[in-house]
Amino acid sequence: MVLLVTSDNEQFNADKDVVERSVLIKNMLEDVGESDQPIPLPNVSSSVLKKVLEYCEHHRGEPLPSADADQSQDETRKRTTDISEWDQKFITVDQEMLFEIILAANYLDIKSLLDVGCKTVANMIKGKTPEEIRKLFNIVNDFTPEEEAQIKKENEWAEDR
Amino acid sequence: MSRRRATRAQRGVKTSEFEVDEEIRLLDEEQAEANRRFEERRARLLRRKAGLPSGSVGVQSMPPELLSEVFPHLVNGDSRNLVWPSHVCRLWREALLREAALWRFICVGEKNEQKRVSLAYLKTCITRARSRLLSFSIKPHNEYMSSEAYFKEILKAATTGTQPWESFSFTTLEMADCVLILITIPRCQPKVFAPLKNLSLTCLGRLQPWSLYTLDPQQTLLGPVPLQSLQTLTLDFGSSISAAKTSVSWNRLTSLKLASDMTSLAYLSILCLCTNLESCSISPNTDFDLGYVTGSYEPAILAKLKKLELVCDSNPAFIPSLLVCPCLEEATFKLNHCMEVGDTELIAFLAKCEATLRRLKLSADFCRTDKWAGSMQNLEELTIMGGYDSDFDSDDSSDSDSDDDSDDEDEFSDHTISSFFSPLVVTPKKALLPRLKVLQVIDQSKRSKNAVNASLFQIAKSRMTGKRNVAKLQRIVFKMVDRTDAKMDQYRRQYAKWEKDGLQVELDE
Repeated sequence: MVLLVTSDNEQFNADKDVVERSVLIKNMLEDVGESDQPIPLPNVSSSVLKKVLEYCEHHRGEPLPSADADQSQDETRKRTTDISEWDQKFITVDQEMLFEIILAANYLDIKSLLDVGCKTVANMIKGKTPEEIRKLFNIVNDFTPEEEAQIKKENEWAEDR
Repeated sequence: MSRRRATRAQRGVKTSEFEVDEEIRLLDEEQAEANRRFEERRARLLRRKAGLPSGSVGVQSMPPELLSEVFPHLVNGDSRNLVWPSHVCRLWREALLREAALWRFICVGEKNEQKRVSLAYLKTCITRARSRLLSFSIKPHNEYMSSEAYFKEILKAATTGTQPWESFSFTTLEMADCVLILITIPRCQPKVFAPLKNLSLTCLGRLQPWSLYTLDPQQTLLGPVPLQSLQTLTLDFGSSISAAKTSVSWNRLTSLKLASDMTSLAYLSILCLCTNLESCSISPNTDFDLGYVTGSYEPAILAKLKKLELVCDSNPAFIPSLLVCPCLEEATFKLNHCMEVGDTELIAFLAKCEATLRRLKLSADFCRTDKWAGSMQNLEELTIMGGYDSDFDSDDSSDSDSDDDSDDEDEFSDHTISSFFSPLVVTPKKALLPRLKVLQVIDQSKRSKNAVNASLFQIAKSRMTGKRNVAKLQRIVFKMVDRTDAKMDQYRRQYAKWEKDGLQVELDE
């Protein structure tokens, strides 16, 4: 078992083969060797770590994606936004939690979870106008009026679809 | 002395140069910091003006490198899907325009756009993709521009920038358009086409009176300069081709799809050249197969082939008998009419591939005999496609879920179908396909649902125990009868129990 300590000082015990889906934790464990020392995770809160561990537990034993997977230009075309049924249910959370999970997956280096998070965000963006996207994610339109006019002119054709 | 003085002078110049450089660096840093503070303050004010919270975690808390993980999922084969996201805010726009590789997927024709719109889109993507390898897809459903006109415009726009092409997919209604491309490509700048890895030409209008070579009197199809980088070739049209007249480096191809109306013998002569194929889909005319099998021909040795698809009108006897593929993992045999004769070679081929074959798709009509399944010790996934009897099924084209079918017809279908499926039921004496984990029945006619439901239920029941060294079924796909009666309720209850036990049940509706 491995002891993990979150940013809000909560402790979590988890199986080694579950937490090792995180490349960061796997490397830390390799560095410290056989030790009972807790692993501090200052960038992850307890509520988020709970979700991350739920994901790792469900995908326990599955092969880890290779480091260079999806990197080639060829892969961009093949990328889909398909998410498995379980993952879809798992990631059905409020927006704040969704982005917390993405940030945690990035920090902990769990590629498959990062992928699920990014696909979910992509699915939310698809088919929406700029204004709808801004509204959905509370994004401020920070273009100056001149910039906005220029962009509109440049991509006038996109409005005509 | 003078040398020493000069050196001192040089040192003085160097020191002062260093100081100036340092001062410039500090100024740059100061400017960058001021810009950052300015942008932060501007963003804070804009958020305040818009009445939005400033500290919560949201998409704007994602660093640009994470945004770059999201954007590739938006492309979906067409870079125009990035245009609106690039209008959202400065951060998104900068992140998207930085990723030139995302703008290289140009898909025209499908959306019924006006010429002006298509060309502006084309120009924008080509500019934004900078020096990245371009990928084009032209589809024919546009009332403002023909496929041929698109091709000419793309050629004009792409070749002025000499940006290399990686992929070109062209779908048309006219065979003459395909010929135009086959003739034009080799005559363009080699720099543009040399890296072309994927070429796909599809003609949807199948009944064309001309052959490919009649349309190309000089016979320069894809010649004289062969496409050295070509890995994937799809020629999905009825006209026949000749390997000798088509300058493709056949032995470099890893994926081939040919749908020409040619005999199995003509196909075999091409396959013999394609020694590096990993995936192959062919549609030979099998009318003369039984005549060929008595002759003596060189086999096609495809040592790397993992995936094979044969789409034929009737049983393919010739190609399977001369195909050597020791790594085959996935095979599809789609037969429009299954004959009583001519299945021996296909059954022998399946037995030959038994050690590596994991996934098999078969026309239901072919499963009339269990001979094919006898040797399949390692098969994990079986898909049964289409109708169960050509004559019976042809009556079924209306596909009505008819309660008004006559009892005689139902009885016939029940008997025929259960005889197809019964060999797959595991009994104490017989366990065919012991590693089977996935069973799919697709394109199933609605009229056959009753019998298929009953047969599949028996198969699932015998394979959910995990006994007699038979793998437990993990996934089953079929059309469920939507009627409510005691039997169907029993099936539904049992499937629900099995789902809890790990069986994935999908309805092919």
